[in-house]
Amino acid sequence: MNARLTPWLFLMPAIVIYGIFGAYPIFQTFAISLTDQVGVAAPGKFVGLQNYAALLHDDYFLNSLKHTGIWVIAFLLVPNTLAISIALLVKQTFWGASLIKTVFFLPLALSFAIVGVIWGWIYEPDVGLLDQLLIGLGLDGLIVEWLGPDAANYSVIAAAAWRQTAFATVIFLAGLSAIPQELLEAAKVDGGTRRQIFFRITLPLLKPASTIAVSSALIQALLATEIVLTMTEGGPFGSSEVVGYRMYMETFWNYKFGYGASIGVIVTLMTAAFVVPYVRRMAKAQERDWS
Amino acid sequence: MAHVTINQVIKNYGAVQAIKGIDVEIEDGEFVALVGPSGCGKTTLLRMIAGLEDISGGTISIGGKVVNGLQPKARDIAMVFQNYALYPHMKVADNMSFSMQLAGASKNEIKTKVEDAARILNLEPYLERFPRELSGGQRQRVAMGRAIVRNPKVFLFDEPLSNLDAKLRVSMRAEIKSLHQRLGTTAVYVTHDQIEAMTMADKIVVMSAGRIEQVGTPLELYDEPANLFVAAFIGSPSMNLLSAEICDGGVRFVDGTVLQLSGTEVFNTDRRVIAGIRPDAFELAEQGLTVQVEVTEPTGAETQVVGQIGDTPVTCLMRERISGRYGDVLHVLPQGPVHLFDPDTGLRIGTARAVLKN
Amino acid sequence: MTDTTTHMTNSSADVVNSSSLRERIEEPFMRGGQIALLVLLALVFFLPVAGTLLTAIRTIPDITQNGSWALPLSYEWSNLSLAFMKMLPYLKASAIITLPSVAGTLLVSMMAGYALSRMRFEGRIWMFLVIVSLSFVPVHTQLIPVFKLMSDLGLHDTFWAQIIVHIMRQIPFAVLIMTNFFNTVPGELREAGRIDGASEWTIFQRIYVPVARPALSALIVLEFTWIWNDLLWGLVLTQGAGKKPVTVGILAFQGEYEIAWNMVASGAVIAAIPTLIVFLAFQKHFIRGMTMGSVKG
Repeated sequence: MNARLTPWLFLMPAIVIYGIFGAYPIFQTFAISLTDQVGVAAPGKFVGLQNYAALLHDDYFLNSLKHTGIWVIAFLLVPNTLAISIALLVKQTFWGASLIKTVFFLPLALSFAIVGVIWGWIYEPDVGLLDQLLIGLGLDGLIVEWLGPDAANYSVIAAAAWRQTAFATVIFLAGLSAIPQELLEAAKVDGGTRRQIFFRITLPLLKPASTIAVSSALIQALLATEIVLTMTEGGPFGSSEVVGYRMYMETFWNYKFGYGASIGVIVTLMTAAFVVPYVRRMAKAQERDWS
Repeated sequence: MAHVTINQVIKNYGAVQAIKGIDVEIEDGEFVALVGPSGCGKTTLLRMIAGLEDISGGTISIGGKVVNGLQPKARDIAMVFQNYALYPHMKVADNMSFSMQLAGASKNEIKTKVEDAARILNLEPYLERFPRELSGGQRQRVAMGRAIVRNPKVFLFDEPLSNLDAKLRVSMRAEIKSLHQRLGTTAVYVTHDQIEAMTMADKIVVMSAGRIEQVGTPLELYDEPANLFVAAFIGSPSMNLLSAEICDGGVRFVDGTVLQLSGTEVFNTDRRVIAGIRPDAFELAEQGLTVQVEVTEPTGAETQVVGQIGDTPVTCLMRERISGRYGDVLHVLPQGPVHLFDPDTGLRIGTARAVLKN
Repeated sequence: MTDTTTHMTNSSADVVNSSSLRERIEEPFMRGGQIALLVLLALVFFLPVAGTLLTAIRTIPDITQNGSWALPLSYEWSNLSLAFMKMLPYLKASAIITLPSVAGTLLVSMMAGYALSRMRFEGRIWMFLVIVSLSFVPVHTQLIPVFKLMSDLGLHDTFWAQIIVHIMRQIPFAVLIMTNFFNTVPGELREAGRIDGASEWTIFQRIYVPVARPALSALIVLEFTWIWNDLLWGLVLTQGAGKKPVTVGILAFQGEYEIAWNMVASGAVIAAIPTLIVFLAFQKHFIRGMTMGSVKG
C-alpha cells in the first residue's frame, strides 16, 4: 500500500457515505432555499432571497422563533442547575448511590416519542398524573390547563428538560469524579469552607463538563422538533411551535420545500453561531496536541 | 548477523533538521549504545534504522544492503520498545510469535521457537498469560522474547529499561548484556542513561543536537573525552570544570591557587583553559583548592562533598569519612588526570597529571 | 504584596477555627438533609415512569373512579400483550433498521478513527475538525435533500434509506469517539506491528480493533439507543406501515387509542422496553460512551 494513500483508503467509506448522503444535501438545502420549489417532483425556479424576506413577515415563523428563544433560556438554566445539584448530592451520598443514579439516568434511554407520549398523559386535564398528584397533595389551586395556549410551550419544555437533566447529570457526575480528591482535601487543609471550596475549586474545575452540558442544552433547545411533534403538534393555536417544527411542517405538511429549506438554513446558522467558537477553541487545542 | 553502516544521514522535520549528517559504523556482533540528552536525535536515528521514520538524506545499510526504501519488515530487524508495546489482547506466546504467524510459519516451528526463547528468558511459566498479568520485568522479557523469536540480523532497543525501578534495571542490564554475548547479534541500544551505556556497550556514540560528539569504547570516552560535552556527560557524578590559565609548570585557578602539573609545557603561558577534574580524583590536602562545603553525603564506602570552588559548583568523592557542614572549608588537590579544554571551542587540548609531592 | 499575603493568612486561619467547629455540629444534620433531599428528588424524577407503568396495567373504569395514582384494583396484563401484538411489526422494523445501522457505523468509524488518530498525513487536523463540526449539523439541514435523494434513487420507503441515513448521521460522532479512543492507545503498538511484518490493514484488524473493545461496547450501546429512538427520519423516509420504526408506531398507536390511556401507556412501555433493557444491562458502557464523546473539549 502506498503510504500517502493509505490514510485516505481508511477514511474513504466515511467520506463517501457522508459526502453523498450528508455533505451534498447540506449544500442542496442552501440551494433549495433560494427557490420556490413545491413538493419533491419538480425543481422550483430561482427566487433569490425571497423566502428569507418572506420569513421576516411570517407571523407563524416569528411566533415559533419566540418560542425557541424561551426554550434556549429555560434549557440553559433549568436542567443544568438541577443536574449539578443532583450530581453534588449523589457524589456525597454512598447509600444506594447506584440505584439512585440509575433513576436519574433512566430518561436517557427513552426516545422523544415516548417522552412525548408519557408526558402527554401526565398533562391530561383532571385524570392526568400531574393533576391527580396535585389534587392528592391538596394543591388543586396550582392546576392550570397544562397543554392549553398559555402553558403548552413551557409544559413541553419541562418534559424535554426531564430528559436533558438526565444527560447533564451524567456529564456533571463524570466531571466531579475527574476532580482529584487530593485537591479538595488540600483546599480543606488550606482552611476553605464548603461554600468556598465549591465556588473556588469545584466549580472552576467543572468547566469542561459545563461546556459540554451547556452546548448540548443549547443545541437540543434550538432543534427541539420531535417532542413538539409528539406532544402537541405545535398547538394549540401554534402556542408551542418552535423553529425546527415549523420547518418540518412547511416542508412535509405544506410541501413548500423552498420555504422549508430557508427555515432549515436559519436553524443551521443559529447552531453554527454557537458551534463555531467551540470548534475554533478545539482547533487550537488539537494543533497544540498533535504537532 | 550483520554490520550496520550509517552514512551522512540527515533527518528533516519541516524546516527543522533533527539529524545533521551522521556517520556511524557498527561492526557485526557489536553492541553499540546511542547516548545523549533528550532531543539529541538518538531515538530518531534508531527509528530510521528500524524503518519507522523516513530518511531525509544519506544512506543506512544493513549487512551491506542499503535499506532506505525498505519497509521495517523487509529489514530483518527486531525492536524492543520503551513501553514494551506488547499487544494487550494476546497471550505471551502469541505476542512473541505474532510476526511468525503473519509470515505463515507452521505451528510446530512457532512452538519450538517460542519455547526456545521462553527458556532463554525464563518465561516458560508465563506463556499462557496476558501482558496485564505480568510484572514490569516480565513484560520487558516478553518484549525481548518477541525480538529473539525472529532471529533478526540486528536488535534495536529504544530505552528499554527506563520504565523499570532502579533495582530491576540493574539486573535487566546484566541480563541483556549476557543475552547479547550468548546470541552474538548486532545490537543498537538507545539510552539517556550514561551508566547503562557504559556498562553494556562495546562502543558508545555520544550525540547532542543532531550531531555526534564522540564515538569510542566506554573507557576511551571516560579517559579521553573529546570535548566539554562528552566530559560532562560521561561519568557520574560528572566531571568538575574549573576556569584556569596556564602558568609556569602548571595551571593557576581563578582564586590564585597554582597547581603543579606535568604535561602543560607545550602551551603558552597565560592561555585560558578549562580544567576538568573527575570528582574521585580529588584528595584531601593541607593546602590547595579551597572548597566551601555545602553538604556532605556519606554513602558508607565514600563521602560525596558538594560545594563550591570560588563561584564554581564542584563535587568531590572522598574515600575518607568526612563530616562537614554548610560553611566548612576543605582543601583538596587532584591526584588523577587533569583534562584541559579550550574555553572557546570546547575541545580537549591535552591531559596533564598532577606532580606528586614527596 | 507582603501585606496581602499576611492578611490572607490571617483570615484563612480564622476560617479554619470557626468553620471546623460549625461543620462539626452541622455535619450529621447536613448529611441527613442531603440524603432526604436526594431521595425526594429521585422519587419526583421517577414519577413519570412509575405513573406510566402503573397506568399500563389498569382498566379505564378503575382509573376514572379511583384516580391515576391509586393502586390498581385488578391487574390488566392483557393491555400489555395486546399492545405488544400491535407493536410487533414496528418492533421488527426497528430491529431491521437499527442493527445494520449500528454495525455499519461501527465499521466505517473505526476505520476513519484509526486513520485520523494513528496516521500522520497532510490535512489530518483539518479533517478532524471538519468531523467535529459535522457532528453538530442539525437534521434540518439535510432533511429535505435527503428525502429528495432517496426518492430519486427509488429508496423511499425502504429499510435501506433509513439504514444509510442513520449511518451517515452517526459517522461524525462515532468517528470522534473512535479517534479519541485510538489516541489513548500507544502508537508503539502500530510500530511493533510494522516491525512484526503486519500490513496496515492487519494492524488495524488484528491489533487495534481487538484493543478497542471497551470503546466499541460503549459505542454500540449509545448508537443502538440513538438510532432506535429516532423519530424524524422514520416519519420522513417511510410511507406504509411495514417500514416504520417503533417510534412512529407509538404515535400511530396513540392516535388509534386516543384517551384509552391504559393502552397508550402499555404501548409506550412496549416501545421503550428494548432500549430500557439495553440501558439497564449496559449502563456503565452507556455512561462511558457519553463521557468519552466529550473528552477534550
